Amino acid sequence: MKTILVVDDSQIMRNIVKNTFLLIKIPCSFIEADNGQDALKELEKNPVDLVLLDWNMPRLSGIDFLKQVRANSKYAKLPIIMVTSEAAKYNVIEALQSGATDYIIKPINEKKFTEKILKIDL
Amino acid sequence: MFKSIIEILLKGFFSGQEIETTDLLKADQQIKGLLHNILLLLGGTLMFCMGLYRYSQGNNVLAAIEFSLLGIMILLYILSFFKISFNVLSFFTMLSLIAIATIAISGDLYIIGMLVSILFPIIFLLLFGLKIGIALSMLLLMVIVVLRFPFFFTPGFNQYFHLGIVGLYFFMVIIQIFNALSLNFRNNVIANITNSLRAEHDQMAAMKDNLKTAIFLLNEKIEIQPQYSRSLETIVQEEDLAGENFLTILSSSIKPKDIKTLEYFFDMVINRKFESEMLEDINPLTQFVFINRKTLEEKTLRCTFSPITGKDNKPYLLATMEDITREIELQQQLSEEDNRRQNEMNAVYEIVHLDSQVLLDFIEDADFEFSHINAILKADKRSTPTQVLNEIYNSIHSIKSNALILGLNSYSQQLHSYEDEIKSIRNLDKEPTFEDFLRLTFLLETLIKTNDGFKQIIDKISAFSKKSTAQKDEIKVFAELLEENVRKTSLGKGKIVNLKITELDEQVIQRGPRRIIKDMITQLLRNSVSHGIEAPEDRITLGKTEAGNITLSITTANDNIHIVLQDDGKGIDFTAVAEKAKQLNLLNETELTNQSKLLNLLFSTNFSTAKIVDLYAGRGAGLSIVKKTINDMNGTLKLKTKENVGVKWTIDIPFKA
Amino acid sequence: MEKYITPFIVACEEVFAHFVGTKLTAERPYITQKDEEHEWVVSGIIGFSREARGAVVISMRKEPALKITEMLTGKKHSDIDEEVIDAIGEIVNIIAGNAKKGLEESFKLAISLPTIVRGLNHDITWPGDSARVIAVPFKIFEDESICLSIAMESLAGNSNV
Repeated sequence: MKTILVVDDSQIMRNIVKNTFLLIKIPCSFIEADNGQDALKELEKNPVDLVLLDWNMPRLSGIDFLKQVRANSKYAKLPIIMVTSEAAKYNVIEALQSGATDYIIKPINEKKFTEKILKIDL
Repeated sequence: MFKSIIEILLKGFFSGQEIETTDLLKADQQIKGLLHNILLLLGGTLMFCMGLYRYSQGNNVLAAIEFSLLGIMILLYILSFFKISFNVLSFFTMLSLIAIATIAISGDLYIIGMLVSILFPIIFLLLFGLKIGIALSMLLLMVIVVLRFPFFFTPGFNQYFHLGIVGLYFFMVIIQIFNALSLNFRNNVIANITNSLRAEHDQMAAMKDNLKTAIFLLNEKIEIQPQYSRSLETIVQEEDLAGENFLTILSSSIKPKDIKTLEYFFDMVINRKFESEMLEDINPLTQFVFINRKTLEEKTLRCTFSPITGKDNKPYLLATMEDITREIELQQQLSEEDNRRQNEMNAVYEIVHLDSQVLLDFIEDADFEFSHINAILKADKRSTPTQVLNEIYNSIHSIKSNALILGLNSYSQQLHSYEDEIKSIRNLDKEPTFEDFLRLTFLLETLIKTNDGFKQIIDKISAFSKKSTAQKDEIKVFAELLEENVRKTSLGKGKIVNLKITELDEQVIQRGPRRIIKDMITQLLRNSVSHGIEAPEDRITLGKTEAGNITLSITTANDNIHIVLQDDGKGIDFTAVAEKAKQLNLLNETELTNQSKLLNLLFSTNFSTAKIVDLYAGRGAGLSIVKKTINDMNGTLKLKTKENVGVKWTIDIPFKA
Repeated sequence: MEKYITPFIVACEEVFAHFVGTKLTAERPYITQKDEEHEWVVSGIIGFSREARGAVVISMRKEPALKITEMLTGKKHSDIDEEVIDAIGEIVNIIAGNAKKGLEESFKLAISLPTIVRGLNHDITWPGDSARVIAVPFKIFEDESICLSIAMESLAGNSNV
């Protein structure tokens, strides 16, 4: 049973992400956070197998969360997928440079999402 | 000190030339020159010693000959410093050496002389190659034979010695011939390999240079490596790019913070940090606008990057760059063309639903307005540019009203854009310029062309349908148009309004200024629906019927056309007018409460209380046109308004039945 | 579309100012029918093609044609004769040449050698499918005028240019 941390300030988006996961038929449980700060706290409390991270969020933005997490060696191998509506390539590169494992663009294409998840080898 | 002695010696041996290290042919030549100088040195030294010896022996003749030969050798050595043909020089050197050999052989030192002369073929073939080398060798042999001729037949040691020497000499020549042949062969093989390598290299260079796509290598520091395609220079319009940082060439095209991100990207590619597919997806230079650093010329380029390992086992980026400006332009043109065709299709759908008589009326009206506009444009001094602009605006507005009623939405949009153009010229607050009118004229032509298009469609349709040739009742058409107008406008405003035409005098429609009246009434109706009649819920709250009512009568009386239009809306909203007037600073405090002043304002150009400028109302043109039209026709306009009861317009226009 | 005519307008003004020595004042453009009757006695036709196809025509009545010829050659002519036609042809050539540079660089247009048509109410074979032509009148010599007109074939994407 895998634990997925979903970080997005929109409840709707979080639901969409969770639903997409259910379609892939990988058994998992979800932890949700609606901003970067809370996400960090959740991360400390529970072991997590994958983080799905939104880009634009209040308090602690996606990229700042990313940098903070990677700064901690405990989470060096933690897969983090950026989920973003920002198709701008420069933002994606920045995310990858800051340590994102992969990225996916909203609206989420199920097939692509599946490929990327499977690649991570949960 | 030691070093400089060595330097002088080297200079001496190489006849003052720099030691050649790169060009193999020149190096070969220099070695021959070195040998030549060494031979001169040896020969010269020998002559010097011999000369002294002979002199001490009292043999002055021989001594003189030997010293002269020494002199010749010194001369030859000096000449070697100058650019004299090596072959000529060394030929004379050989002759001198042969002379020395002759002397050596003829005297009492003949044994040494003959032994040494066996070595001569080696020198001849080395310095002069096969043919001349053999010739010289034979020459020397002849000299030896001639000089020692008698000894060949003297039995005993001499015979053996002389025959033996000649035999050895031949043997040496043959060995040297084989040596030279083998050397030639090897040289040819090497030459062939070199040539084919060179040809291949030239071919690659030609391919690389003739490809429009530029190919180049970037090292880890993102510096362009030498051996890049010539087309790279053509695309970025800069030369001598070797060693240049690729990112500085992009400095005018990409924002500084994005340049930093690009560095990350290159790092990801060159170090293969992600899968190539993903990297291709996020390549920001797949399509971008390149701005030349110096000329600021713009192009659209496509670049791709792949990691590659160089010959030195270091990682490099294999980059390509293509100019796709034309491609993108074509794409845009195609999609514009596509859009245009879509719009045309939409327009046709709109038209096809209309009754052809109604459409014909519209076209006629539009034609009339267009000619009017053109006439104004042509008429030179009579009106100021601003006046001309206003006239044009009014005419277009008129056509637009009609178009809207008929549901010709695409055409209305075009007309609306034209109005926008005029409005933006007006907003510049100065006289419209020649360029403005030029632009407007060209745009006008486009509008007229669309109108022509309608005509063509009608022609095509009437070829098929019989109904179009039937005469429709003009009155009915007129009334229908107005009713349609009200229906459309009220729909757009979210209101329910009924138009009741109580009286409609035929003469007005058939012989009167039909168009003008229609335009005026249309404007007033629109005004009523937009500003007068309240929203259905409000009406119910006020105790009125959900639907608003407008009554219209057009009659003739006393040589006048008498138009009465009445609605049961909220009446003129003086507060709103006053507010707008205050906003626009058009009246002072006392005037703001003066109703007649406020009414006047309502009729001026550009004044509108509508909050949203939409297609239907709110340009503030409508009422002012009405007033102007009535004035132009010497008519009168009476306006009666009562709060919450409604507005009544009474218009009288002189008319001879 | 007006971007194509602007170089011609500028060329006209410049050429008349420098070569003929007289000022041209551009006035309000208007639209005219291709087969409309006119009073021009001579027209210079400059065709263009490639990115867009059409023609620019410079037309004038008898009086300005004669006056221009007089200013160029020094000789007074009483009627339109070969010399007048030549002179007008020259002017049109120079205008075409001047406009050509700007057009070829900016718009990839190719300009043809101008042809001259003459005679009262002469026919001009206009290209294009529209029945109309956009005309730009120029005031010359205080009370005369010459006319620069343009007509184009509609091509892909040109309707909103």
